[in-house]
Amino acid sequence: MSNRPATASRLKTRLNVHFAIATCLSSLTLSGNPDIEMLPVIACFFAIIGLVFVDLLRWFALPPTAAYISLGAIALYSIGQFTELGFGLADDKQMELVAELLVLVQAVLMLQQKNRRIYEQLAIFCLLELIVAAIFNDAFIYGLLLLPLGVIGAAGLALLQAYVVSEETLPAASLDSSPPPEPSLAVVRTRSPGSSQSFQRWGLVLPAVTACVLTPAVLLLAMLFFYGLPRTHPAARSGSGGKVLVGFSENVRLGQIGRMLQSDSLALRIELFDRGAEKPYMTHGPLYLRGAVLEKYNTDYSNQGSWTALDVQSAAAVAPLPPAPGAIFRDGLPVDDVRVRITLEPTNGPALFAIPPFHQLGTGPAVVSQEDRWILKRRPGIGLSAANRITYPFGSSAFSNGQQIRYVPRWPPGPNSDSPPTAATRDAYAAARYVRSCLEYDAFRIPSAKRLAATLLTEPTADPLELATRIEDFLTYRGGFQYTLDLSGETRPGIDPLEQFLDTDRRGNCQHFASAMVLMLRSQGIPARLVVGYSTDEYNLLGGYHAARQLHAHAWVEALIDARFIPADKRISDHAEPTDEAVVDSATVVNVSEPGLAANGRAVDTADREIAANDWRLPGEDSYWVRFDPTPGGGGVERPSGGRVTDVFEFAQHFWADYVVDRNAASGTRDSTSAGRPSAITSQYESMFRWIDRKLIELRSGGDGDGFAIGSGFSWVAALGFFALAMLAYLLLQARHHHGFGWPGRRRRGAATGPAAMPQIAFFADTLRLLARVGIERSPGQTPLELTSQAAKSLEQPEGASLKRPLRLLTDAFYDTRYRDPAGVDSTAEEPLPADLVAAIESVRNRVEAIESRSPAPPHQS
Amino acid sequence: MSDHRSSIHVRLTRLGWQFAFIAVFAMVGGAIRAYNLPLVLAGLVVAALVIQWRWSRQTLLGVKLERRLPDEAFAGEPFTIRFLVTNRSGWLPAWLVRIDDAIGQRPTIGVRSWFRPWRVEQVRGMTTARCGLGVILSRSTLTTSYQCLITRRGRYDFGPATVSTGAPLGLMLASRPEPLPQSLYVFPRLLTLRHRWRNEFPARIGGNATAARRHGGHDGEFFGIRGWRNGDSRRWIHWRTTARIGEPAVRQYEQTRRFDLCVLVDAYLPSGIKPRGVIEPTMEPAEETLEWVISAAATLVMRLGPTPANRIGLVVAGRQTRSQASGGGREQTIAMLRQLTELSGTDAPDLAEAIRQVLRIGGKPRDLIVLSPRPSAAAPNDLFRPFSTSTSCRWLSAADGTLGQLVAQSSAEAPQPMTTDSAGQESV
Repeated sequence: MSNRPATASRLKTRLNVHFAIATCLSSLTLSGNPDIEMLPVIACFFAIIGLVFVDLLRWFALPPTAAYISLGAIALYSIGQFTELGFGLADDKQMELVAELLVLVQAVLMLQQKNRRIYEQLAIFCLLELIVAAIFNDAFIYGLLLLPLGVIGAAGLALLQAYVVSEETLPAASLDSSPPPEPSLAVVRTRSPGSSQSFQRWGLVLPAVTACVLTPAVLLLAMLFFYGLPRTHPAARSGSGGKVLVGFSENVRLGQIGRMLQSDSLALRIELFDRGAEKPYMTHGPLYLRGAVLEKYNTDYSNQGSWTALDVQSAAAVAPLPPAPGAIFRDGLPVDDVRVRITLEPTNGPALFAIPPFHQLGTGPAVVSQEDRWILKRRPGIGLSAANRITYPFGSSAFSNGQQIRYVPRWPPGPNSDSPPTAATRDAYAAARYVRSCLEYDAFRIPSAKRLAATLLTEPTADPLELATRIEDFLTYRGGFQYTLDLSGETRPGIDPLEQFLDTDRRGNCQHFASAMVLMLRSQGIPARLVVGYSTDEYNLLGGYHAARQLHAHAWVEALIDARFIPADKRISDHAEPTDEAVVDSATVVNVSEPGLAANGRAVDTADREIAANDWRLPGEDSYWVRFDPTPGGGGVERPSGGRVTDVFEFAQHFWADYVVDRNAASGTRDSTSAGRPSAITSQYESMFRWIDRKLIELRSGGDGDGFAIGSGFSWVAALGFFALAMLAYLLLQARHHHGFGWPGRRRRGAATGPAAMPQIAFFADTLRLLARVGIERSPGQTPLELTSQAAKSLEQPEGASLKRPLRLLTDAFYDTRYRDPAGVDSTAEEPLPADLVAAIESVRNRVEAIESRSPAPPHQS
Repeated sequence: MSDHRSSIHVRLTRLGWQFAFIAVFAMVGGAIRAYNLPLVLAGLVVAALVIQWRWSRQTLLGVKLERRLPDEAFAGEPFTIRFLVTNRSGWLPAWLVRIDDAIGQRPTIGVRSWFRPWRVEQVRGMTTARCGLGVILSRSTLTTSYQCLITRRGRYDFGPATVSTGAPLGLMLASRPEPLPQSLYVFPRLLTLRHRWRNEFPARIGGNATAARRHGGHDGEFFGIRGWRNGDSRRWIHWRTTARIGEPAVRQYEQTRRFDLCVLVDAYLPSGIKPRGVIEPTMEPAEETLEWVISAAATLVMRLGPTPANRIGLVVAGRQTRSQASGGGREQTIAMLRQLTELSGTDAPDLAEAIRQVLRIGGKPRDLIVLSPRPSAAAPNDLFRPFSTSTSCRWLSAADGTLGQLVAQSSAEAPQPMTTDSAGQESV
């Protein structure tokens, strides 16, 4: 009896805590939408207030009448809001109102005295909040919250079930025989105090069992349901909570990339596969992904510089990706055959990202290319919504021995060695005009570009590649330029920002450096253009992919260099040493003083092309776009390294995005433009297992201190892992202690719970029945003496005589009868009972009846 | 087991219906709008429902019930009904097992031929008792119980017992009815005898007292030694004789009967009062008076019957006239209490037949006490003519107050139940 209220109180307290946590977690799932960012705060506030002041401290509780009035007011308010909004479109706003309604009702519920109905309503509202949040928050945080919320919710429901059954068997205070008002109960009354206590006691253990056993089973079944569900439409996205990333358009202002660098949001994920070996392709050095190619520099009335793309009028402006090059191109050179798959976060621009030279490799019709720029775009009207994450594959010949080649042929090569280059089929006039556009330079507004470039020609050179390299070196190292994102310096009126950069400030971001180099190249007659995109060297070892973030946004330069000036092996790799045959004929001198077409690819004569074709191993091309990156240090912002934890988190994030949010039809594809899907995930998991294997080897050998290494000092990861293992072992031991699982190996028959069997000695059995009426029952393993000692303490009352002596007398008599003469067990029923034992039983009976008559009626919950 | 499978009913609880509705809503909405996350939620809820269904159903498949009724029960006295709950499953513990036991009262009159004890829900006044266990580990048996208080005498039917569980999440409730038909006689309420109740009866000490032989040394004088028979306690063995003759021998004692009387209950109920059965919430005053008379008879039987030194006879004259004699045995006392339990009143009790049965079971000298709701004047003049002058015949009536001198109408201080057996000690 003594521990019954304590057990009931613990059950109720745990129930309250679980539901308060579930309320908080479910409201936090709404946090992805900035328009309703206060709702989680409100919900958490009222959940904590309700838990502490209503449930635990019991300082106050909202009366049911006040609660109904509040709910009515909330309903009126919501209806008014809906009416103002209209019942038409505006889905997001309506869902926000629904979320608001749910949170307000939850707040009212939390302030009420809890009963079964309130708990059930709280559970329903948590579930509804999850549904609403699922519509406008599909971020990974939702998935992260879903797991603990599921565990807490399951444990809360288990506690609620124990609470319900214990309430249903809650005993009446006493079984008196006074006529009750209800006819159906006129003659029979029942109570089972032990049952309620048993439900309460084991109800405290059930949540742990539910969490351990039920959660994996539910997750498994839910996965089967989710992935087995037939779908006919591609998955839609809910807009990332309004956070569409800034993409690249065909108009980029100076400083725009600098603002992008302030965010570390993930922009795209690049997976490279070695087609021959069917494994992830490992690269060295930064990976350049071009998003837009900009040819025209403008300065507006506010002296703000910007780059825009030329309005390309040729038919090739939008075309399918070129076919894969011929066999010689792939096999004859050490160019690696790489398959690229890019997963692009929702962006607000049409630009896709590419690694040129690319070719068709399962790329769907929704992705088109501009061959003269080597860029990819969404084809309008195909269904690639900018609000959706998309994945598109293509093939790339841009890598050699793990390094991205800086030379890109101007036109895509033909499909085989015999076919002419696609450039031969193009309009030579348009191509020449494009080259002329890449030479436009306003020497009046930006005279410093020409002046500084001319200073680099103190030692004349006929090699445009050499000159471009000098300019790049000048901007990067020797010119005294400084990379900075702080562009708060004073702008000089009437001065072009690039002129100010080159002449005065010499401080700027990658856009300033690249723009300056483009203009310096153009001032010397070398066609050049600005390329914006991402340059990343972040590689997720666990997932086996490169990650490009907003802070990896970058601008660099491409200069059109005649193939004659490019050593053949340099076209493949910067690391290869030039051969004697590949040395450029120094007699061909570039006329740097007169900008023109003399040094440009389209202006070379036929003999030169033939020579070049013989030398080049990429047939049919006569010039190359050569990448220069004049930004000191490669630019960008150093991202704080999160190590393996970040890798795991991001891998999980992508898993969530790929296999939950963007999960598509039952064919197993994700949201992709591809017709066929490469087996990338298999490789990812292989990569993951290889990583684990490698780490285990490092662990065994002492390692290098990064990761699980324990041989060279303290490792946080190892410490956390050890802590997690210790906690797991502790929980398992606790579970064993509570006998919660009923595992066959640890079953003990003697560990049965509940009241033990009644003794056969009649007078002692009567005594125990009396004690059972006030909830004192003998548990298995408890001796009669222990039981009566506990009963004497429990039945102690200040105004009454102690029952210690009568109970001891009865116990001694029981021992005497039971063990002195075993045969007497059967005969005692017919023996007269000594008067002292009768008196002892009477005293116990009187005390029990006194307690029963004074017990208050239990609170009945409706 | 196959019967168990077919008899298990699984239904959604209120919370389960709400969850299922939300799951359907999420599924339809997610499918229409092509949102995946609502589908994930729907999958989780559906999975929880499926797991709940299988878990609760599998739990009940392994649970077996056995009810243990008490040996005796008196109206107005709480008694305990026990259930032995066995979990036969080899791996699954049974969580939050609830037992709903139906209790119905078998009509003492107008029993229909189609009546089946396990369909007691058709009986008006049925109620349900609840008890249960938090957990029953696999391959183990536990006991749970509920206390029951029945305020009116009668024969009560127990069953069907419905075992159910909503564990682990309470989204579904699996239940299985177990017929477990059992009946229990709830004997009439025991009342408190007046302080000088013995003065109402002539005690027979020595002299004309009849003798009875019994075993054991409770009281009485040594009578002799006989051979040991099955059922004899080892405490009765006379060891010296046993050692001498080489086979067990037990002692016999001769006891003097203290009370030798016959109780006749006149179950008179005025015409116009239709016996409605004891399940009715209220009773007519005449019915209450009759119940007092019957309870007084039961109290006397309980006080005098179990004592071996007494010889008690009981004749009840109601709609049927029945009799039972007792020589101090427990079974005979219970038989008398059962007759009183099933006694129903009538406006024309056959007292002549009752007297004949008194003489048949009484034999030689026996005192007669008639307990009646009617005054003694209502008794036929020649009612006691068959008895000799040495027989004391008394008519104790509830109407003229003579019954009230014997037994109180209230049961505030009810005597001990038979199991404590303190009555015999007090009676002498």
